[in-house]
Amino acid sequence: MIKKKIKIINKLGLHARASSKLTELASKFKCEIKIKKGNEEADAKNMMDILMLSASFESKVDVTFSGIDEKKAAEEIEKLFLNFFGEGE
Amino acid sequence: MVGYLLVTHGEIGSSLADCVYHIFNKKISRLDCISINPTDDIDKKKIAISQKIKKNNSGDGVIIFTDIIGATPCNILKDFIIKNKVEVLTGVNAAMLIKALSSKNKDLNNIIQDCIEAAEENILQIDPND
Repeated sequence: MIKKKIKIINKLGLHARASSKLTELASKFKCEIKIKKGNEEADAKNMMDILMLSASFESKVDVTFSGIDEKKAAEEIEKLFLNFFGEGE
Repeated sequence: MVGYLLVTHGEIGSSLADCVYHIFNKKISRLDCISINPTDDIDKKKIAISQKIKKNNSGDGVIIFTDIIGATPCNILKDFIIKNKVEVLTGVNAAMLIKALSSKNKDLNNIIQDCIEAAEENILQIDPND
């Protein structure tokens, strides 16, 4: 299992379109990907789950990757967060 | 795959559709909208609804979303319900649509249950400190 603590750096946070991109990317991997904010946990392959986290700008989430392709998934998912979900800011 | 139709008062449906197109960053061909307005000829609207159901049914059925139970759009739709093939859901919101359009391999009744759960779970009072 790989665990990563990621700070949300895009201004709009984990909003609907960013969540859609995250779900789309997460669904390409076989491993289980969970995102935790406080006591709430979401399945990264379920967009509504992610939206329910209500994770805004500068909040921190714990992301866990568990399964056969966890290393690749962790790299790419972290990159998506760090790349502002492709939003530029 | 299940097809979808929004039949609502005015532009509620098309606005929700625009919202999900924006979120998914693409137009979704199996989703169509029909607006019902006060001066509309209801018989003509019924023909349009029938055509859209036919267009969006690939064999897995169609879910029709509407806004308010008991209102004209909802009442018109009762005539189109075919158990397990064409079903109508009221109280449409963006969460329901996102849930439905995220489902790719589920059958019509499973998607309906997911939509109802998504709608209920997403009506919340927001805590500013959360």
